[in-house]
Amino acid sequence: MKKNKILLKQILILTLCVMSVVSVSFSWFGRGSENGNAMQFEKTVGIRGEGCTIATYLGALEFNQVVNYDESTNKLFNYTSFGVYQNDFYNNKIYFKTNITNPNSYDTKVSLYFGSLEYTQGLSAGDICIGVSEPTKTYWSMKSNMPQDGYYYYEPYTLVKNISVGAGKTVSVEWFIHVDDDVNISSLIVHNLHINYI
Amino acid sequence: MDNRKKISRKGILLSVIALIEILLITVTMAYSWIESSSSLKVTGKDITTVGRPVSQAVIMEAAVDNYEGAVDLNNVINDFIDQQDSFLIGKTSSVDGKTFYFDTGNRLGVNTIYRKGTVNDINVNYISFDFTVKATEAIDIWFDGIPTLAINGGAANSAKAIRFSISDGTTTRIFKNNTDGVNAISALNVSGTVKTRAPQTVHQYSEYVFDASAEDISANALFSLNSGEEKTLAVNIWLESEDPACVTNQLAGATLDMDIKLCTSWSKTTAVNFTDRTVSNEGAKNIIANGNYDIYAVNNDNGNTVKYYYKLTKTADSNKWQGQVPYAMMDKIRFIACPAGSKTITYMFPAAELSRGDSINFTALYSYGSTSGHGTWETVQEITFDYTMRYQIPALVRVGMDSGSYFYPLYKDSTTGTSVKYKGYIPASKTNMVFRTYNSTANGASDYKLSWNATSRGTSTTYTAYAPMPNNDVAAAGTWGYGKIRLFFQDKFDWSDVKIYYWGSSHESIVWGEAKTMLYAGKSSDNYHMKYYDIPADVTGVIIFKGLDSSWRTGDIASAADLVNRRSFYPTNATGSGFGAYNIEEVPYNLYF
Repeated sequence: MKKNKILLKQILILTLCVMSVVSVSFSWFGRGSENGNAMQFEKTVGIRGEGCTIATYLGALEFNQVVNYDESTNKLFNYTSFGVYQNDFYNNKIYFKTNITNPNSYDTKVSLYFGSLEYTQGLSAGDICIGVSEPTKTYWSMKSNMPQDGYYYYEPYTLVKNISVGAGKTVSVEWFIHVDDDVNISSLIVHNLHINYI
Repeated sequence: MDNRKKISRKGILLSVIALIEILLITVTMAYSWIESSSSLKVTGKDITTVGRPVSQAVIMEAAVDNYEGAVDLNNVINDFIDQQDSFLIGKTSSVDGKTFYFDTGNRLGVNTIYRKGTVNDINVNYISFDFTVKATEAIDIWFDGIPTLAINGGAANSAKAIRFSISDGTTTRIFKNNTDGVNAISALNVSGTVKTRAPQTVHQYSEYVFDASAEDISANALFSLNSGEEKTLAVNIWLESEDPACVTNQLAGATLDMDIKLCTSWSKTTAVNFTDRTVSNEGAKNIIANGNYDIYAVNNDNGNTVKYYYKLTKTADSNKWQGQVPYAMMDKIRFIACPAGSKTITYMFPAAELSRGDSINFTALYSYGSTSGHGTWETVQEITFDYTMRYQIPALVRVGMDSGSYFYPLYKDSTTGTSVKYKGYIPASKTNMVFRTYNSTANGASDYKLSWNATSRGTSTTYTAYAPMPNNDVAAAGTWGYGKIRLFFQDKFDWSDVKIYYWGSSHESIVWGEAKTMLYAGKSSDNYHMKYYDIPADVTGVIIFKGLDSSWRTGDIASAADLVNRRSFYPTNATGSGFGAYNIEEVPYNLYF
């Protein structure tokens, strides 16, 4: 045990030394100075393409795995707004997968937004959260904004920002909505799920 | 038995090293990891080199052309934007060039809902970078021409949507490519959750492009740095989504070509010309052109050490050198002449501050050492001082422009009879000057013999200096314009009214009846009245007579020996009356001078 400790200490010190020589020295002295009496920059960069399409699928939870993102289940939403029902929830969560397809011959980056959520039964602030599991990991507690006839959550939400979609490629965004245990949802409508090229 | 754990020296040493490393990493490394790409120092002669003495940075051997180096900021961009080469610029909107907003595609009533950009959008949706400029000498910074910011090599309409902003933290200016819509492009207001449109103040690049023809070139500088000052310049480049020119089908999948140059008052140069019109005290002209000197334009505050050398090139005109000098140096420019191959100053022009105006032409007029250079930035005019007296030829003739100004030597050009012509150059605008003769070639402004107040030059370039009046050894007289000579007449027979008639001049023509009355000059030292009259130098004949009885008169005085050499007469006894009744003799010079 004592030997292990000493060994560990020595490895740690060695690692630190190597890191400070290799990494720190670079960043310490990294960006030096340049001489000149004028400045110039010249570069060509790409501009994002547009014209991607999205399709959203419902998921099911089986053996603690999210499965069945299958177009054949007839749960495909090719719309910017769509509703789901109590049966679609698993442990108070409803799972979605949104495929973003770039049919063009050039790359792009997109962000995925939705406009609002609509519930047929009342929810209090903090009762609902939105999570993204792929390609990023985020979790967001929604706030009730302007209750009207139903409960509308006007606060638009950005599911993912600036994800790269290569030419001819499809990128999947896996996300879910989580409601509190004591809330009985008869239906939920996702409004204006869409992508934007900014 | 001591039961305390024994700690080895090695262990202590290793622990201390480990602690130091942890401290360093915690304090420094973490910071530098995060910030390592946030700034770049741009340095140079005017823009200092960190860790490098200024003097070394400055006196590079390429003294002639060290204004040509430009810092490639492309490295800066590459460090900031996505290293994986997957950076794609997207649409965004900013009213101030600092805060950016993105259309979420959602609406609240008629209002578009935007999201405010975060650090995650920087160099993902738009280009943003900064770099530090440090100036060792004061500089101004401009665009070096209209920058290139083109879509797909030049889709003109969509290019209008490109925005470029540059800020020094205090002043931020937004630029767009085209002349239309300046100051009237809608963009987003920056307040509130639901953004509303607001005017974006936009400049044209041309407003801040270096303009050599401007009366004050600094007036339209983007930024100015004082000597030693450091500024961090932040650049943002984006596609303004609120600009109507931001049309999807022109932009999507296209490329944005950028080529932006920033010049400084040390990179922009102007031609300067140095002309040698010097005359030495000994009367030798072109002391620099006739020596073996290298001429440098240098930056030199009064008495301070020369910092920057720009070598000039001798032209086909052997008196003239020319070269290129950064604009920043023109405020304090001097010229030095050094023995060929060295930088030891033999002569420096001008020795004192001299207003340059807009001139790029300096003419050296006089110097007797490394600290005595005189000259002018004005256009110069060659003048001739025609010293017409046969006696007392001076050792040195000088000309001074204004009372109190320095007197420049003239060189002896030619001698004809008693006329000695001295030549030199003066600022062409000068019309009033003073000529002085000296009996020695030593320096000393007061050590002169005779002085001529040569005022109202007009366009004349030759001043004819006459003999002084009798018994007056200072207040000499002369005239600009066509050459004149002064004839003296000693009135030995008290004619009282003495007249002079002359002919043959191309400038003046008089008839006998209009013969001129000679003027009174004073008494000669043998106590006779002296008369004088100034006649054109090209007169070919003269008759002097008694005004009250013209039969008392001389014969024709028409020989060069008389008109050119003698110029001063007295009548001998009459041999009769009428024409030629009086012979003449020359008045000894010392009787009236």
